[in-house]
Amino acid sequence: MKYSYSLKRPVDRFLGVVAGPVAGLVLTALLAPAAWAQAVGATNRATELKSDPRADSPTVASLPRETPIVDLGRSSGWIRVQTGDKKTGWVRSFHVSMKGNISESSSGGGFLSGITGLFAPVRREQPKTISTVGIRGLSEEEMKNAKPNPAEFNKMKSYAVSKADAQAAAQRARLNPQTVAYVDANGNPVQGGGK
Amino acid sequence: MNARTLGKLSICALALLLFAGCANMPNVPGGIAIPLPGGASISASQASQLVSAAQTATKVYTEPEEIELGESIASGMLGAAPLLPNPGVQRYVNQVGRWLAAQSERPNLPWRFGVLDNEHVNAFAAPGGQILMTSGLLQRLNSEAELAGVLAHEIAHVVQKHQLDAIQKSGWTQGLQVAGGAMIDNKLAKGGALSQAARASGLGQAGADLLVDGFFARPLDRGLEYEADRMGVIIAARAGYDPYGFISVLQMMESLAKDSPFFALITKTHPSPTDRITELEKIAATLDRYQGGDQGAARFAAALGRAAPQATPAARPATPAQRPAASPAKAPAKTPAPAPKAAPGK
Repeated sequence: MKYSYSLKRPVDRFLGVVAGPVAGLVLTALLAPAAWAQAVGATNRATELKSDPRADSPTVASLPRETPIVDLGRSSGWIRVQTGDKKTGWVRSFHVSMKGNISESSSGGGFLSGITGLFAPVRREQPKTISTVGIRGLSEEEMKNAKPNPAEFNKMKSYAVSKADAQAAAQRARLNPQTVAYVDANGNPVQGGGK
Repeated sequence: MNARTLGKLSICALALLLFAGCANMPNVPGGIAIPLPGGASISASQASQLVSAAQTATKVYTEPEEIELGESIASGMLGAAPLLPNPGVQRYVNQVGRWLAAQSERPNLPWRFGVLDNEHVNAFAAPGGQILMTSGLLQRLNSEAELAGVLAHEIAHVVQKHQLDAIQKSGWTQGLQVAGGAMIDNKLAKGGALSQAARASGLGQAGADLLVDGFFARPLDRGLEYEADRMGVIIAARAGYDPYGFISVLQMMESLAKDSPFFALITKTHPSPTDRITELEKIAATLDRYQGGDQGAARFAAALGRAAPQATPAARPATPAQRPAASPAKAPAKTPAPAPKAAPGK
């Protein structure tokens, strides 16, 4: 098996989340995960719900186009989904379009009501003060008014990693480089890629 | 010199400001005012300076100049948003990015990667190998394969010189001429040889001018974004990652971008995530050949100080829903943890 999941239903998993340490504690300059969110979408064509993330696995159900789904996780080119009639299984990633997400509110109650009405109106993502700087800084206007910051750029340079060190790290991670040609818009191999 | 000649001259000067390479600019003695449309005038020496500046702005950059220009753009971006104050995360992103860049056609540029401390979701490629992404984007990712997808897209832009070409081809003379070009021109007029410092300061100002002019607020041609998407997934596959990580990123954006203020700029400057996914589906057969590639979810979680994903062999929790509850962040690992033994590199 190339995938696993410890909890079978999103509600169970969500309860696990709220039972855990208070998420707010980790909203610091460290990179906590984004506010808990679960993507919802719909099939963008008629497709099959499979028992495993493989085309040759048994079909759980045939899903018509525009079948609403909740995104439960990934395995490469497959998404584990739950349908409105509580069926779970895997569909090809390309066969699903995301429509929004159910976000965790600060109380958590909003999410529970969201999952109760599984496909209730999607919550908008609101600005939250998660990083030390927040949303300011990178709007179009703010970028236009920015003054160069050479000191910060020197810091960026100091974090650079040499090619040799990056290769060593990739080896430790057992990342295997391979030769792959670029492809054109139709998937045909093309030469080059440099100028 | 009669009025007619002056008129031709001013037209030529203006044309030079807008287009590169009006040949054989006549040598104009100083002190002659050149009328401009609207009644304004500039001196001939000013005109000469602007002409030269315009040529500077539109010339073909050498690789060292491309790098200097990109560095100055990065410096400007860092004036808009500082780096995330987390050296472990910064080094981790550099490690992944540098490994990806080594698989590209420009493996020996001075590649540098920076995470901006900012909640917007975006990433930027400056010429010459300076790549920036926001912490808002990083924290919405779930695996090293997803991070690789983002960085490889930006690396592809640099390999193809998409931003550099945009700088050279569009109306950038206006943004560049005044400070960057004129500064260089002045130095040339005074001393002849252009010192390294003078060239750098000119290009440095040029980078700032590009930002003032809204360079990163304007879209590239859609076709170039699709090209960077196609090349990026290949670069990720070359580096040993599952190229479908990038599809996950696009679907994350698809689920969030429409209504979120954090996606406003990336939405303005890129084709919709749905359109990008549609384009990538055309090369699905290629993606499928490499879908056994590494996910690196455990390494990613460790580097970001998140609790380890609930991983059994090669498992990959992909949505935040599948991550265990956030625990108080531990100190981020300086280097990625080794892959779990049970997850062979494939």
